[in-house]
Amino acid sequence: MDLDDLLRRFRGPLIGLIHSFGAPWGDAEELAQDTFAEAYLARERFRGDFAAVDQVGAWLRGIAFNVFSHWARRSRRRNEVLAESLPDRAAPGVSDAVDAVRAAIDRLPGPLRAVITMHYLHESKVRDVAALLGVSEKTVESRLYQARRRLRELLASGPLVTPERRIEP
Amino acid sequence: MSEHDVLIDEGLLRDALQSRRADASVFDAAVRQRIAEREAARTADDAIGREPAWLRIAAGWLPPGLAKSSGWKSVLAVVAALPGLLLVAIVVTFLAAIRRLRPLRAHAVEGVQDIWQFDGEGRWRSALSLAGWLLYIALTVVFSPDVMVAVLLVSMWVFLSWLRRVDERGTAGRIQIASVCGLLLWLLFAFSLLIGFQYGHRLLPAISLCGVIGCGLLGGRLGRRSGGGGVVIASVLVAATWLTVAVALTGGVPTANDVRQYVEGQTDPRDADEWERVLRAARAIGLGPFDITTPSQAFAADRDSPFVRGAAARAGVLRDAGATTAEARELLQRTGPIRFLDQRVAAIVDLARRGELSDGERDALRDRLMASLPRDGAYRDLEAIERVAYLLGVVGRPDAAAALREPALAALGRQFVTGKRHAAWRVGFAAGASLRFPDEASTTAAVELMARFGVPAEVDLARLRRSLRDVAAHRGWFGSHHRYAQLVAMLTAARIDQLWPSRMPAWQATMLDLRLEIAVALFVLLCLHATWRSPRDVAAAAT
Repeated sequence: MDLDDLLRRFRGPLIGLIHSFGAPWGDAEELAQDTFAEAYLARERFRGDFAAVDQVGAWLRGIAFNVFSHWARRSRRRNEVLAESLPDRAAPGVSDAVDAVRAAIDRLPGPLRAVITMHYLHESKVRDVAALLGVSEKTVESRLYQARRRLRELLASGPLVTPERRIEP
Repeated sequence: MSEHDVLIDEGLLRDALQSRRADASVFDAAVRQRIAEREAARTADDAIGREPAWLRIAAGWLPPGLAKSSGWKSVLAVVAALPGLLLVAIVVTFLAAIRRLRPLRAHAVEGVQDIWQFDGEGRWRSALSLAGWLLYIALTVVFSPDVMVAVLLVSMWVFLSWLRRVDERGTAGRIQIASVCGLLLWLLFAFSLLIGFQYGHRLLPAISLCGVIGCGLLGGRLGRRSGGGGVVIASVLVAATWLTVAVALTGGVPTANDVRQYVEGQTDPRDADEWERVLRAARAIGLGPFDITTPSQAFAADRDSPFVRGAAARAGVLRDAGATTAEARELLQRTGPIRFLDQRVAAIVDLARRGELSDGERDALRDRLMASLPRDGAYRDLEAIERVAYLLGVVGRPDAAAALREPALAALGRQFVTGKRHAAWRVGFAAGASLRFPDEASTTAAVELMARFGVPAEVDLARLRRSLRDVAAHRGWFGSHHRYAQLVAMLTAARIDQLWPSRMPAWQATMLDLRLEIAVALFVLLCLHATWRSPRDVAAAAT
């Protein structure tokens, strides 16, 4: 398994996927790093073909979900708000439009929010996003279209407030 | 209607997510660092990882060096199970003794001298003396809790045999029994003082002193004779003081909430280094996230200090640690070791986080970092090696850290200090080869180095874990530094548990941790029970 290739392909989509599971951005980045490390160390247990992107994506998604679930259980036990542990790089005030887009993305339904963040975070290929989500490329393209249209509608409807994200005990 | 009328502009989406984007080089370096750490931890576990569960539980109580050696499996089970077997044996012996010890009979024989010499050959005196000598040898030469428990077990059997013989001869008066028991327990008290200070078994003197006082009161030796009241009061005061101190010292084990309060409430930049160490240790065991707004503001006000900036940068508090152009140029253009590397951490982290380093510059920084390794036995070398390993990850060259394995293992073995080696009861890693006492910073750095490179044979993780728990249980008397020491000890012990779990239920671990205290308490109870079951008045019992 070529770790560099895996990182290059899935770095962005995986962070976006874990964020769509419910992890804040800072933690999603850390959990994605954990996922890559776990995947690399468990590469001998992979039964598929490393050349098949869809198989690698499905395998990575499973590991990511396990890593996220473990993290979420620990967080739930501590009954903690999922606040950023590190200062957010998304410093506010770049522009009102950008802030509004961020708020609108948070308002999207889960599947649409996932494809938006996975695709645009690191300018990843639709094919890699599809592999990680376990859906066809057409489905990803369709969701991207719907998400962009929904965002346009949300922005047209007026000012938005980012909802607070919290794991219930 | 055009696409832009119904769809949001892609450029706007990219702008919105731009700030969320991870720095690819830092991200990849962090992945490689995780892989290196987990591979090292896996290597350390491999020796016992493939064995059955029962054997792994047993191996959890062995020094890692022994567990890794070849041909150990056949003796492992017996050796590793020894502490548990000894504990069970002494509990069974005590219960059997209590059950079988009927009220002792007495003849009209008075004086301790009579019961010592009842058989004319002095065999029992020799046996008890032998037990005493064994105890002494165990304490001074080959001390370990298991040897002590074994000696107490033998002593218990000898004591029971002596009691049976005394009973058969009818020479068991309460004063006589109490005198012998009191003498034995007084010796145990004296030995316990030594153990208590040197090896951290602080409750032992209190337990054995309680036994001495109990035997004195039951035997009527205290309080009746002239001046005896003073002895009783003095003994009770000593015991009460000791117990109070012991309870006070062991009542303050910090919680996760204490860690949160410390991490989130730090406002003194002078303690930034200690604060960062606690934060790092807490994150390593999965605590957090923390709201570090307050420390961030406090440290930002003192960012001229390279130590504050280094701690803040490593903690992720200061995103822009302010590496100046001159600093960057010096780091990238010069060759050879980086002088005062502990003051350049922020600059290197800052350079790497900007994401502007070329491959050649990363290689140059790697070479300079490798050249900055401390010489063997240098002061604070464990921290320095750990810092180099961390910075290699930061500059995207974590694979180079493999070359640190040999110096790290040598330093770990050299600087592991124990109560047996030095006259201190604490166990840990010293800051230098010639230093006698463990140091918090060196110990936390050592644990991270062991997580990465494995555990050298000289390091006894079980004793280290116990000593750290003991430090963590101290209630802080001396302000923030003591609190820091307590927290970092607790977190380091938890990190050891996480990296090398003993795979044993908590109650079993606690019982085995306290096996010496339990054995001494059982011996004391047996003495008190024997005294209580003996006739109060020898002459009256005989008639």
